[in-house]
Amino acid sequence: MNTDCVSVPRTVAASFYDGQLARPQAVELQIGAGGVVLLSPCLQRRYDWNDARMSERLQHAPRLIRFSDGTYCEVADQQGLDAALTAAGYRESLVARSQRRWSHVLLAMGLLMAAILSLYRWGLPAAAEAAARRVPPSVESGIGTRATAIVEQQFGPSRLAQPQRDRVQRLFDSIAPHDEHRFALVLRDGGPVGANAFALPGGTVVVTDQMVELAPDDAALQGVLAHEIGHVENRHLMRQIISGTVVGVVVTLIAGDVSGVMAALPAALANLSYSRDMEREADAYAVQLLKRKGIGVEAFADLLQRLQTAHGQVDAAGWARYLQTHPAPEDRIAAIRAAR
Amino acid sequence: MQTIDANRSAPPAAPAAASELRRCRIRFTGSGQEYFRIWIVNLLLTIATLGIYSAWAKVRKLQYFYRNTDLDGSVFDYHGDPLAILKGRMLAVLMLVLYKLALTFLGPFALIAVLALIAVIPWLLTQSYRFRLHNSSYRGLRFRFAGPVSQAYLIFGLPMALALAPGALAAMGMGGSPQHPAPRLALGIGLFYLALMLLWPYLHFCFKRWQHGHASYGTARASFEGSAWNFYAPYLAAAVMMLAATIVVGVVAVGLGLAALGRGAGRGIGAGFLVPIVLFYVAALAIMPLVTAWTQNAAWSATRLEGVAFESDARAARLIGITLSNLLMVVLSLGLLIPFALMRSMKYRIESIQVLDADALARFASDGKDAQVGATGEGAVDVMDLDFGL
Repeated sequence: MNTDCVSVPRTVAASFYDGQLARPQAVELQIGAGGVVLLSPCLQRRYDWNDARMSERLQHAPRLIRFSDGTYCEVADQQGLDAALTAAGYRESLVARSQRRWSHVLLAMGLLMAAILSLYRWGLPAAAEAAARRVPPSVESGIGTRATAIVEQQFGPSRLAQPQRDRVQRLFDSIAPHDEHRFALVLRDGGPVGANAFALPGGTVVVTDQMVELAPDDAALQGVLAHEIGHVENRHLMRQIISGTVVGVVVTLIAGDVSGVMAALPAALANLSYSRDMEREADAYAVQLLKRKGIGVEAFADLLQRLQTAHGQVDAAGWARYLQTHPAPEDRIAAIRAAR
Repeated sequence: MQTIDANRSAPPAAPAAASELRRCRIRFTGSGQEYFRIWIVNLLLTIATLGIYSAWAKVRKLQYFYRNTDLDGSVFDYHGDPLAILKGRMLAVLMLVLYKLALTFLGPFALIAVLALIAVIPWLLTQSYRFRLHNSSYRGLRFRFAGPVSQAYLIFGLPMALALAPGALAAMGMGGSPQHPAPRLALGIGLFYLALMLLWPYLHFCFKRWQHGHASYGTARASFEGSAWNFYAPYLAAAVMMLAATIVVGVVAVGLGLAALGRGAGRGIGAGFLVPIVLFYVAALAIMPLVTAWTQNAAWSATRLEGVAFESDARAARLIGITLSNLLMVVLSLGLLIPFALMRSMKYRIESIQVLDADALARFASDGKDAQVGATGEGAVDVMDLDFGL
């Protein structure tokens, strides 16, 4: 309130409500720099600006002047009140003024997009990574144990011959690191899921029979295994669980107006884009691990290349599902080749 | 109760003939483009402050809704204190995070978290509705709500328990794996859901009776004298329509399946699954507004505020049209037109309601009490995405 602005009071018609009876009383408002005076044949009141709160201006709704004693005035004459308030030196808050200007709203939209995108892109992954590192190993392996039980329930036992199984186990043991994770290999029959490999929290790597059969040689299979070990070492599943929880909470919090289906959408999209980033991270880890063990990365890159070119062809049905969960765009393959 | 109300409702002067009562329709003047701007600024500030501003945003939003709701030349007003709402929200977020973490990490003991949530939700909903009404006013008089929490436990707790009981039974290992439930368990689950379906309209009736029947305005107490049948009728009509839709969708699905087989390739199978599912969703979305419109009509026609009666004449066909076009608008604009959609459906639903004796409104007086109700419920219910509607 600009009190040093001296002006002649202007009058505006209003309805006064005394807070006792639900009956409007017609009054005339005199709005001055010091306060507001209410006048009618049977009423005369004066409120200081300290005791009066002006509501925001809305296009089609009357303006309310709420007084500290619980009474208030409803003013339908928007223009009259505006002129009187301007003359009295009243200025609305920045938020209220911004809401009215399309230029400010467009700016807000741009900032909103930028804020959401950068939080999704950088803020959340960083927070999830930091949080995942603080999850105690016992909790992580606890989740892993339950996840393994679910996997063993969903997939039948491996149909591979014993020598073949021993060979995969040997390949796994030759590259699995010995650190805080207790690495274990689980071979299962992929069934309708087909060729796939995935990592569970805590260090269990699941490989389907079909994956073993489709890999042309040891080095390619080791590439796939190293990639999954990369997921474990980078705690990707923990990070996905954490970021999924955060996105879920935030989305339900912000989008109060939106229905459940709409609210679930961004969460699903966020998970998809993280898994792409994580694939690259797991690739980088795999390349390092293979190099350290003296295994060529060429076979792994070739395998991905073959998956990529075979994608979409009818005979690639077995690979389609692996590609859905492990997207292999050209840049990913190129990155592996470049790391050689 | 009824006789007392009837006595109270007798006008002090000579009773006016029913035809002389001045009816007044509620008007809603909110506009999509204006609310859009408020919504965007609210969203930006909420994100920029990492959610802190959401409490102020909520007050701005509700004040926009209330101040644009006009009854006989006066508007409603909302008085919620953002700080109180913020405290409620922080508590709610904490609860929700604990709940989600418990579900993720506790394994079989996650059931305890679910039970705790079921136990606390009816209380939260009661608190939320109390907070909402105590902070609502019209012509300077506050609304109040005195609905007993015990009834909330029946109304909200029973359906939640019925819906979750089969899962809990299965989790306790009453037979089979989730993929292969034992036949007896399947029967049990079926009975639970059947009971829930049969009870649902009655619970909806109880909910509205609780919500409207325990409200008051100034010194005037509201009452609710309706028949549960008026709530069964819309659900029955919806069930019949849903059955018809299911048959149509089934025919389409079989047709698509046959066509795919005719082409002899596995290619069409994907579309064969997707098209019926989408059709089914659209049918369900199209039929739901019928229930909304008819139950709203039933609830308001059953409500009295000390002799002042209400009437709601929302038409199912109109609301279905509004809902489906809103859905299209929101999906095509990737959510950007949500404020426009909201204003359209609010306008139709609010403007369906009439007060049958507008002159009686001016006789209501304040109860002289100040509103002091915690906001915990208010914030929490928003977070858990359970809304009351009208």
